[in-house]
Amino acid sequence: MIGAAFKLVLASAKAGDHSALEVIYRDLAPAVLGYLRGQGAAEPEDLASEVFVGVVKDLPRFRGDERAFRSWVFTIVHRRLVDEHRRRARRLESSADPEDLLPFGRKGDVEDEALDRLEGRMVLEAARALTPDQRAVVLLRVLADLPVADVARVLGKSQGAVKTLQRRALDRLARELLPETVT
Amino acid sequence: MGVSLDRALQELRRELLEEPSPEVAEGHLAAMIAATETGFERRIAMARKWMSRRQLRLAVVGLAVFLALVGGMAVAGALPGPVQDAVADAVQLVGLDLPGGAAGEAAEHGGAVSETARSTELSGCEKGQQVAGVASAKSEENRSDEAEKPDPCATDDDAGGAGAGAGFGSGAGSGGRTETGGAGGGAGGGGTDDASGGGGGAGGSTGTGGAGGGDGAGGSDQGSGGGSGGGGGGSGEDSGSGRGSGGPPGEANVPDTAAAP
Repeated sequence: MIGAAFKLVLASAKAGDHSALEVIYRDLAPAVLGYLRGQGAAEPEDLASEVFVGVVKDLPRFRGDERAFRSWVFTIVHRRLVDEHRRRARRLESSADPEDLLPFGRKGDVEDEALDRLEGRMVLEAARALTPDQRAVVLLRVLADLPVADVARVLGKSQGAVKTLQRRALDRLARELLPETVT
Repeated sequence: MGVSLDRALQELRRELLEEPSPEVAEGHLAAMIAATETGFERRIAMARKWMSRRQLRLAVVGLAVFLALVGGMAVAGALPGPVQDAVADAVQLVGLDLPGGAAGEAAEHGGAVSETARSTELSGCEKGQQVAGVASAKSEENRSDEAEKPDPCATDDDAGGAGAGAGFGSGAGSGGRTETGGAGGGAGGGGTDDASGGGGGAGGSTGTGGAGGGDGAGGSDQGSGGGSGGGGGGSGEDSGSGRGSGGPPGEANVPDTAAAP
């Protein structure tokens, strides 16, 4: 989060200030890329590039605070993702392989890394078992730090529907990851 | 092997939240900067600049035409009253004297009437007459014949024209006067002569000429009948005296009437 400086950064970015644009990019890029990867985008970097170009072009029309800005950006992200899924469906391409959801390895102790990768792999596989809507809710809540109301706005659903999706998603993750403890 | 749900969500976050590689970030930023300098934004900026120059040019030309038009009409005094007054007041500040609007005169006149109504010490009909006089000053100025001016405060009783009886006897009648010139009635006194009867009444005078009517009283003398006179109508606009014509002899002390002509 940018915080108190957001207003100034936004005004500078609207005026075309490059450093302000970079601040916005650095703040949002990890979550945007993570959401696209978590949703199985075929080319998350290319799609993210389209998203940020779209953000820059529509920036003069944006009005609101930082929370509204994040919600607005992820609305663009989600729409681009939906468009990309439709394009892919028309081309009859296969969805992303689970391996593709782990493009970035982490450095460190080999044993810990292996364990982390194993856990990470399990979590990602569990996430892949969710429905697209359930996964979108979980990723927007966890990666983008959006409240339920903003997630509902991004997905075009009611808050009640988002809460239901979130509960079912967590139940399913728990069943996948903790089979012996879930009733 | 199992993991808790909280741990799973943390792991999910850690797996997916990764800083983009420098190459990827550089490419993204370059695309963003290019988007600010090309295409849509640049076209919008150019359109705004072009629009502002064109609008400014149109505004200047429009203002010049408007001022010329209004100025010409103001000099000619052809603007509507309030506009003419406003323009006249405005240019008076820079020493130009333009004719005031009709509305200004009307307002001034109205003020004078109002002031008269407030300040006069008269009351009743006289006050109304004074106010009306001020209010209708212009129409009074345009009226040439003084006789056309009615006297609304006059009544039938106090403004009657005098009529002179004529006949064998003597008589006098007074004609009444009304606003529209009513009939004046005159009563002729009976003659006192032995041989002659009473006189006729004279018609009254009216503003616009009315009919005078008179009752002649019979003579009081013995042996001779009193005449009854029909009052002559005043036919002139300002000469209301009429002359009664003698009626046929009648019996003494028996009044007779004659219709006014």
